[in-house]
Amino acid sequence: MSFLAIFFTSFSLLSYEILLMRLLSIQEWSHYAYMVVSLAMLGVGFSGIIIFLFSEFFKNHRETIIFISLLLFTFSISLSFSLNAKLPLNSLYIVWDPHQFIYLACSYFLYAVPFFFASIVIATFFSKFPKRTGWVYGVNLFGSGAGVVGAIGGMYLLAPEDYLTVTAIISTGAIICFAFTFRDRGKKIISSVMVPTLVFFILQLRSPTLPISEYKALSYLLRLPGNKIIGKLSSPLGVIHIIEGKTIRLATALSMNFTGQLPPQKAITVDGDSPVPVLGFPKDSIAIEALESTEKLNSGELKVESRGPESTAPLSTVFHGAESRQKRPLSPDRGRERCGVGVKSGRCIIPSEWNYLDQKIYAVGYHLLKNPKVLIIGPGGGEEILLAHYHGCSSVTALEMNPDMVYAVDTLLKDFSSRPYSMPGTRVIIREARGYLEQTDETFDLIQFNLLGSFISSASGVYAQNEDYLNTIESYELLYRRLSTSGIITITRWMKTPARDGIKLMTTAYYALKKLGVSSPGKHISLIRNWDTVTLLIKRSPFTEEDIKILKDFCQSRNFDLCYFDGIKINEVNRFNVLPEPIYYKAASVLLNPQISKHFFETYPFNVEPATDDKPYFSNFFRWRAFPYLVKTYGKEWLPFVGYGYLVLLATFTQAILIGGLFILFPTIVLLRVSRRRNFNSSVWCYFMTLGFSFMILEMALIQKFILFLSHPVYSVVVVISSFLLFSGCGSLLSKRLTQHNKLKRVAPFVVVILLGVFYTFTLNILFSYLAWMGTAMRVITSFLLIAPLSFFMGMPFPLGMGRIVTRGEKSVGIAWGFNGYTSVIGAVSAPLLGSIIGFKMVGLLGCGGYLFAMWIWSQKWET
Amino acid sequence: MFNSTIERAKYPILIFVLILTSYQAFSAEESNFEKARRFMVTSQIEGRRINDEATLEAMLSVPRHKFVPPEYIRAAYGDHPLPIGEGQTISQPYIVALMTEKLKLNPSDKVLEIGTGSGYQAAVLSKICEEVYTVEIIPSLGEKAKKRLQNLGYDNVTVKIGDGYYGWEEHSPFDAIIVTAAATHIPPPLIEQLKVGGRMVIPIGGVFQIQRLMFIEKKADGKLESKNLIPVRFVPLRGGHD
Repeated sequence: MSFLAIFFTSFSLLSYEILLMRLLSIQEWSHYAYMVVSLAMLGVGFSGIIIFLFSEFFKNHRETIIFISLLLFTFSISLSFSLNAKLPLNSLYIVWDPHQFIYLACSYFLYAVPFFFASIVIATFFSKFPKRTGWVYGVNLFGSGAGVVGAIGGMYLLAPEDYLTVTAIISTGAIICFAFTFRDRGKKIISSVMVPTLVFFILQLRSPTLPISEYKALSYLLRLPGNKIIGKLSSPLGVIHIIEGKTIRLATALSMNFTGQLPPQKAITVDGDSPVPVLGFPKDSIAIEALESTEKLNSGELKVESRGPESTAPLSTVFHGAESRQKRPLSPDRGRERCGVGVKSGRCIIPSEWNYLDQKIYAVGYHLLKNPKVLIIGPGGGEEILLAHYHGCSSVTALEMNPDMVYAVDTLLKDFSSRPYSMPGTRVIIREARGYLEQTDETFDLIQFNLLGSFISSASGVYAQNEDYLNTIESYELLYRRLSTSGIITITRWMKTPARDGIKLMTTAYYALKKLGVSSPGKHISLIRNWDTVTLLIKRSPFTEEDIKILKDFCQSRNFDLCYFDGIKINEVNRFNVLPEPIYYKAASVLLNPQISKHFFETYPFNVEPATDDKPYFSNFFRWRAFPYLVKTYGKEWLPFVGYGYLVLLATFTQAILIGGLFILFPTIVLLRVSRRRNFNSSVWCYFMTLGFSFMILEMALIQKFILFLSHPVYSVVVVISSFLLFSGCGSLLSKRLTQHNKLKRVAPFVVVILLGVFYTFTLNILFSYLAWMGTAMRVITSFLLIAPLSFFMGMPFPLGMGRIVTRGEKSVGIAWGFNGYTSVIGAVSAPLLGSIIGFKMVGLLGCGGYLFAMWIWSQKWET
Repeated sequence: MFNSTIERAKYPILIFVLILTSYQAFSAEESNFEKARRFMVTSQIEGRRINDEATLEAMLSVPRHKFVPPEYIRAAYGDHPLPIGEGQTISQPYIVALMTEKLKLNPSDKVLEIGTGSGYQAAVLSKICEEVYTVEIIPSLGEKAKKRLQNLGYDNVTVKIGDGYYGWEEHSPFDAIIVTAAATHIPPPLIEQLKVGGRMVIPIGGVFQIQRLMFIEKKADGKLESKNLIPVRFVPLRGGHD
């Protein structure tokens, strides 16, 4: 029963961690979630100090400590989040208000409490079973792995805030299991009955709704009179809210010359931000005619493909107003349902109210191509699908990663929207773009993707540390290969000031074309902008004079500015939306001149060098050269100039080192000196610290590698972490048996980890390109098989080390546990930071180097 | 007898002393705010090369601390924006001054502001031009701003609670329009309500970070010309370009 209690505790703790990340991403932004959770995990390290300090007490009251810690862990799961919601913390205002640091510290403390108590439980179990450390660690890892899978699976069924309650209930299971190990029968009965009752009452204190930052788009929309939420969909890919109201008017990238009225809209937000419009279908005469003709012609023309992992995933729960019902999975039957937009002579009829779509900057591709075969990456609310049909495209392939988005637009809003995903000639593929493009041989005339989420988030650079495998040199190469002979790619992003996105788009495209062997890349690229967005065009064949004339006319009639095409003159740029200097033109002319481009990259205040798959951070514009300037102007004028996300990452790394050092390392070292413990030398703490750091950065490097293979970060996280934990658990269980007696066997786990780690670092990408033909299920199985041997052996060094010190008592266990927890957090935080600086290949090698060092320590004598 | 006189007089004396000290404290505090305001204008605004006298005078005379929530009064003259609730902010003093200067206002001008917020920007504008019309869509903010502007005697400011997207047609055309509310595009009705030769300023960026100001001018042919102004110092592009 004790091991079952360990399993449930580990399950709940990892579920709590995953949920906390999701909840904080919805409530605030993902960078904030990352910052809070990584620090809260230091609670694990701090528990080691407490065990060290009160080792005698722990030794004499193991049973009571485990029971009370389990109880407090259960309560704190639910209460930490509710109490945090009451803090007046404003994460965006932290630069100017010193009080915010106090609130932030309180927030850290509250979130760290569950980690602290759960780790006290696990560490005390190590001392309780000194001869079965492999088993304790193994079950701990098993439970953790199951907790990750449980949390992700659970979020398909429940909203994250509701699954938090489930997590608390599961940890109650740990209390009941542990209560059954009591020898006293009365204690056993009272504990197993009273505790669940108490938990039930505590859970009632939980905040019923998730408070969302007042600065997020959803909060803003809901503050406007008459706006309300009419639907909500939840899955690990994001929480979708559908908002209706008369004041919703989303029209990014629109020409200033547009003077008409926008059609009625509803808005969809993902995780409370990045609103996209869903256009209403006007009930005018043309529309009605269109609908009638649709009735006659719509007979299974629509082809819906669902090749993604979600086709086999559990159904999401749908909340629609007060109702709650099960979502239907995508099925070809939907093709037979009535399509919302008209079809006449086999073509869609678009209501006149949607003419404004042609006034958008990303309509440019349709002016350069006739009846193109279109691929739209991430169509969101479906506006771009309508634009494609407006221009009489021959077909549209809509690549949408989140099936809930398609369901929200076409099913929940079926009476309002034109049901763009169900329009004739539209093919929906639920899949991440890179994965699909790797797999298919199909070519397209126009590939379009717009990265116009929330301007507020984008402008503040909160996405600076989000991996983006779509905007890398390798991705642009792939996109280029999927173009027909005269095909065009259009990419639109927010225009930030000072210029960086547009320049980086150009550099990435330029280097991708160069890598493909295109002789004059400059002839295949053009760049245009309006007052708030910038659009890059990449053409398979060089832009012709006719193309340039069309481009000029398109821009002239809409007050858009030409920034670059081959042969552009300075008097043709910066005419309508005047910038202080023609920065894009200048950047392009510098970029295309190899003699001075190197100097340009070195001296530009932002990092505008192209992103690669090894450093997939397109939105990271930070460069260390600018750091002294940023420090000098702290709090006044620099925030817009740096990726907020990158700063948060730096801050997280620094605070993890400092706070962890202050509360974990420093007191431990002082206490060791004071207590004059001779039998705990530097080798021991070096060993556990190295293991914690190396384990985490190897795991993080593999998560990055598998994102491309598994097509989505969420799936990569689930598959890598769960297989890591499960197979490490197996390795841990068998560690003692496999490494007994023979000295060679004792270092074998280290050797295997190092060899496999190096092998994977250099060969995984090549292997993945050979396995591109695989379906999702096969990919998941292959991933498990690839990770299994590495993680199996990575699970051994920790319990082996623990086995060497556990006989020395509580103090040793506490320190080993605490130090390992501390460096695990440092490893998790530093992996993306290092990845953006030295690339993930080097991060993987660093992890292997860590295991080499640990092996050397392992082979030394630990006793002094 | 003497004792009883003292007994009888002690409360009025106490009240008098309290009033006197409160008044003195109030005056001292007001004088401190005035000093802070003067410092704000010289260091944050003039120091960043804003020289328009009307703008500087307006910034000197409007008590910014009366437009911020009580918990932020002490930070009112700091070189940064402040939260005012409902996910909105009162802009950094420099940005308010910059937007005001860029509008190139004349005393006889009629100005429309979209997004009243705290009412501070409207109060600054009212010191320079004849009529200021301001529209706020969030009722709670609009009501508070209306009351505040009335209490402080800004009689030439008219506040309306409504959808600023449609401007304020009955008072149009306007010499200048300032759009401080978030917008994904420039509302066509506002362009229509702008006089020929009229100016419009739109700050672009997040709630706490103005990246740039968009300055739009309506030309004689009705067409628009826009300029992007970067409100902050920036290390310019250096390289081998022309």
